[in-house]
Amino acid sequence: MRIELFFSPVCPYCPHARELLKQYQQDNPGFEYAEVDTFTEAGIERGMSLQVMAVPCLVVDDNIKLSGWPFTAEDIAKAIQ
Amino acid sequence: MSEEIYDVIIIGAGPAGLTAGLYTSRHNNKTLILEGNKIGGKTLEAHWIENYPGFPDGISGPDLMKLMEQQALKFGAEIKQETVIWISDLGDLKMLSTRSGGFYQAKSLIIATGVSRKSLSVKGEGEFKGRGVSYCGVCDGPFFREKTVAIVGGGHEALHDVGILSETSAKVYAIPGKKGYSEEFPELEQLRKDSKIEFIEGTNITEIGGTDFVEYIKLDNGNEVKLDGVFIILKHIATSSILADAGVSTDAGGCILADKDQKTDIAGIFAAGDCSCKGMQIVTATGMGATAALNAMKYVKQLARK
Repeated sequence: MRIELFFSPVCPYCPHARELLKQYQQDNPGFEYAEVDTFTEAGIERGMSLQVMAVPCLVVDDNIKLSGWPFTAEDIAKAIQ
Repeated sequence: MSEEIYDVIIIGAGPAGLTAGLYTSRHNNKTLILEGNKIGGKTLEAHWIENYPGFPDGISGPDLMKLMEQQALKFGAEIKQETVIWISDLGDLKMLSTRSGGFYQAKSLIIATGVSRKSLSVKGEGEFKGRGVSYCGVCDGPFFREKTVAIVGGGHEALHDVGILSETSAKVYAIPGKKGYSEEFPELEQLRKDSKIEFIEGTNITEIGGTDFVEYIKLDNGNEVKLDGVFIILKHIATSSILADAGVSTDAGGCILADKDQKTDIAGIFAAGDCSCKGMQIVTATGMGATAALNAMKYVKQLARK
């Protein structure tokens, strides 16, 4: 399983989402995790190829699971299951 | 429960709150700043700030707020990321509790909670959140490169986003709503000349629709506009019911009523920044934060003489 978190340095909800994802990764090791900065050309291209339209955005195996509003730990656990 | 009594507790760590914290801690007033969200507030969303004095080449919002945070910490202010859920005024002592179970006491309070986002509350908005409906032009604008978008809102931030999005999008509809723009902003004249921007005024959106993603909006004049994204940039005063519990008065729009000294109608409680609906600029917020801090310190000093 590959999990990507799309974030922007100016997004108010992104730091919290990143912290929650890092905690989830610690508690549930064994998957590939990448953070994608959408203020980079590569990040925005990757996002647009997946039809990401808002950050923070959680993508699991190329499928958008959560997008554009504050995540909770429960949201993440449910989305990844 | 903490038995410690702070001289000043500041609710909110945006420009007003951090400036207030810098002033009070620098004058050796025991200061706690409580912030329920990210330290820096909405200024963190500002990609580039060109009108804050002292930075002639501009500075990013996150960088400016990091500097403000460092400056407040340098003089001894404590900052805790906890959301205040209850405030009580016991005269010479103010008490408050936080969602994470914190309980704090202070001789004076400065409310600097800023503004938060507001939804448009129309059909389709919830359904297309994250699939074309966005609440942050700077954050999500890059995904709408060469696409058609609408910016909804009559405030300065909405207009700012019109300018930002017009740089990368194919077309931008600026829709301030029936009340129009809240003032004649200086950049309006220039933006009206931009061929990529179309102003749709005197009308409200009634529906956002599409199949998998946003494809159109409907207006209350019966028109339909085809587009790819809708940015809803409306503000909400983050006062909520906790201020009512403490007896702090607000106007009909939720703005905290504060006088020229930033005093509310409760002795020892002050308000500063966007939550008092004045200025709505970083520089006016820091000014109000400093004024609130100076008057809070005067109040604390007067208490000690009792």
